[in-house]
Amino acid sequence: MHNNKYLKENPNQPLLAYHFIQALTRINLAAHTTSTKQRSHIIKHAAYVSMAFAAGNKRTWTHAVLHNRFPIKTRFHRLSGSRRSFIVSLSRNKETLHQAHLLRSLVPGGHAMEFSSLLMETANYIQYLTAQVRLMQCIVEKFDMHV
Amino acid sequence: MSSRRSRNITEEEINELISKLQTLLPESRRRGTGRVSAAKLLKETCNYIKSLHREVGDLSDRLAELMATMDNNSAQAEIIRSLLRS
Repeated sequence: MHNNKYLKENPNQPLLAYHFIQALTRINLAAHTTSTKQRSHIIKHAAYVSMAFAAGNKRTWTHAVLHNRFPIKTRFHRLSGSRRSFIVSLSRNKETLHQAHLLRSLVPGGHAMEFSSLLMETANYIQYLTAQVRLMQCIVEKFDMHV
Repeated sequence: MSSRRSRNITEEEINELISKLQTLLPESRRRGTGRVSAAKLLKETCNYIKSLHREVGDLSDRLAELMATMDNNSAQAEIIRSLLRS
């Protein structure tokens, strides 16, 4: 089935590290001009951008991150994508639909996706999130050793 | 391309995708191997994503603090080199 590829692909960790470390280097150069709080915000943004670059442009969530500076304050009305999920399965209960709606707010671009795409994008997004977290933990560890 | 969009997604395929999501959740959030409702799995997925977002935020704070204390360029180059090696 076509959607299997969404889970088979492992996050491109070298590319993720490359983008993120490049960003950190830039941020570090300007460290004397930024407050810690500002810097934290910039680093967080760099984390999501690195994830999106590494994941590539075949995903809806990466487009949403790169164009909307996730977390998105979306002004878009719920597109037909989410309404279509009503038609897909009338037997799905209210609680499932409610949770699906919450999930859409957590995945970049989630509100514009068809339900099955939402599930696939979520899987991919989680894989990149966990890779990014591991990368950041690794960097913090190395920093701690040298400081 | 248009044929993919008009293809009817079956209930079964949706359930399969949802259970595949379950495999991405860490052990502590998997809620057993028996049949779990789609709603519960989606809820756990939401909670997991929220905790990952929080971790990214906390780690960003940590990195920002560490940068403030580090003003040595050669130490930084060493870190990058050791990271790329590992």
